Amino acid sequence: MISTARAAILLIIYAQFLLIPRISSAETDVSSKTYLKFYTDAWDEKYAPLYEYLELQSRDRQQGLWNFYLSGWWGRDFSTVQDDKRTRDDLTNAFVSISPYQNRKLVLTAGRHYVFEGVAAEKIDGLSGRWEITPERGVSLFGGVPVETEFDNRKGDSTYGGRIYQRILRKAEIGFSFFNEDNNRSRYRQEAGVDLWALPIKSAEIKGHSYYNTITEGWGEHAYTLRLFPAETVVLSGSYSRTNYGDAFSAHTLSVFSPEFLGKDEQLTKKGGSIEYRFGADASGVLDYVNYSYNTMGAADYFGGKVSRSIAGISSGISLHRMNGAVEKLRYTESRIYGVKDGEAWRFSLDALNLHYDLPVNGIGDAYWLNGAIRYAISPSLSAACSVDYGKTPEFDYTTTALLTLVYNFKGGE
Amino acid sequence: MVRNRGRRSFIMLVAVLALMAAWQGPVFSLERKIPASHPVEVAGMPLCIECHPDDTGVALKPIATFNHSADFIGGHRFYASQTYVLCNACHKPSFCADCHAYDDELKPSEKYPGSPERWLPHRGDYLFQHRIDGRLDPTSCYRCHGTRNNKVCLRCHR
Repeated sequence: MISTARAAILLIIYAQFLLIPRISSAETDVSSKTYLKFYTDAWDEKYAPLYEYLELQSRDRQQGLWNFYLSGWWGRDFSTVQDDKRTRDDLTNAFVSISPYQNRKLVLTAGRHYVFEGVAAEKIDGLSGRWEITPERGVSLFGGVPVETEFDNRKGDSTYGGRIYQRILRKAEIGFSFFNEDNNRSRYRQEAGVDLWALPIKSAEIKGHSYYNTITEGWGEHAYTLRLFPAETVVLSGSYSRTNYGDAFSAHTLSVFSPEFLGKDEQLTKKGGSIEYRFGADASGVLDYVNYSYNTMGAADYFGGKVSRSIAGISSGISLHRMNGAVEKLRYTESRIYGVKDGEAWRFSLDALNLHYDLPVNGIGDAYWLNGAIRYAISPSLSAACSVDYGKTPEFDYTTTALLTLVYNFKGGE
Repeated sequence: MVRNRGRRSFIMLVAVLALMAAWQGPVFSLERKIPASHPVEVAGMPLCIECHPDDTGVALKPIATFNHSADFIGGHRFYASQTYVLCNACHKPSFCADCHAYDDELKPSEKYPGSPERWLPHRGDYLFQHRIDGRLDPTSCYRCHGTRNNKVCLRCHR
């Protein structure tokens, strides 16, 4: 059953698409992706869901003054029914965005869309505006009804927030943001935050944020990174973050994120670093390290590296990482290797992943997964692909998944 | 009475902002703008400075800081929250939604079969491994599944 709000949004967007062809500077993109997936679960139930992902965009190519965007998916089970519903769908985005001036310093958006403003990384049905008042400072505001899934109904739900920022051009930016979400007319989430970016010298960048939960009255998260650029092809980074579970997860829709379950006084501190070196247009190597430490649980170290490189026309990659933790489950070695060969119309790829557990789980010491895929470009705008997975895991001895894909892209207008 | 005063204040504020917006338009139209779309289609993980060696300042931050290194991709949420207009020049909302969906049933890696070079998350059968990763660092799960996109989670986690 389609909701009134969704019908209204669709009607508005449909009306816009009727008008757009009359606008000479309009450029329209249409993308359709169809997936048919076959797999069997641990209880030998066979599934064959079909998914159609549709995306429509029309925008002002010349001036960038307006943008209409619509995307969503529809799915149907042709074999065993999942989640008691044979047919499912979601309207992912449906919005109209307007920039009254060519400099795009003021952007107003209405409809279902994402807002990324400091503490807020949310999807809303509502309005948002970002106004760069001068190159040094600006403000953004948003408000509407939060988009949520599998929680409760949306009656009495609302959200609003905003961010103000100040810049020292090309040297620093500091932003202060606020986010509020009411569920069923009562306060559900409320956070304030500060985000910081600075480039004190040309080859060093500092960035990060701190979020404060105004309901629990505690800092939920601090996360800061220092990046160094000693050469154009080298990036060194060091990061530090601290998360207080009681403040960070106070609003949750799954019991598994409940601070009571995870530990109300638990804190996670992550410290790490990486070195990346690019040697050529399509080759790079990364070494990375992360240390996880907690108030109550034992610590763990994760370290390793990966290399991507094209060899004899085959794009390939290899990675190896080791997890060393205080408990047996956190002692494993993770490795992966892949190769991709592009032809004129064909693409072939192979991908293999292995997890070696120091202590076998359910008698399985090595869990692995293999994927092979073939893609064929039928025309510049239409392609078909077939992908097969085969794997062995500690839970399902063997599992096989097959996926057929058809992708169509169309670009019209200027 | 108080409600009317609040409404009046809000209307006044919107009117003032609208006037200021109308006034500032021509003033700042002389500046360089971030284009609505990147003039050339870019594939892979670009080094922005390769094509923009003479950084014109359009991004209001040095363009080298947007080079798509592995570290940049790992911390992209920070750049999106401060500079999403620049992200929009190359990436459609569906690019974000491929991983950051609110309600979806296909994993990111399933949407792009034959593209292992993208290192998309949750490759393979992630069902067993998610228990380990979830206990190790619940913040990484929470961002996408804590308050949304949890239909599949609810099959086991009530």
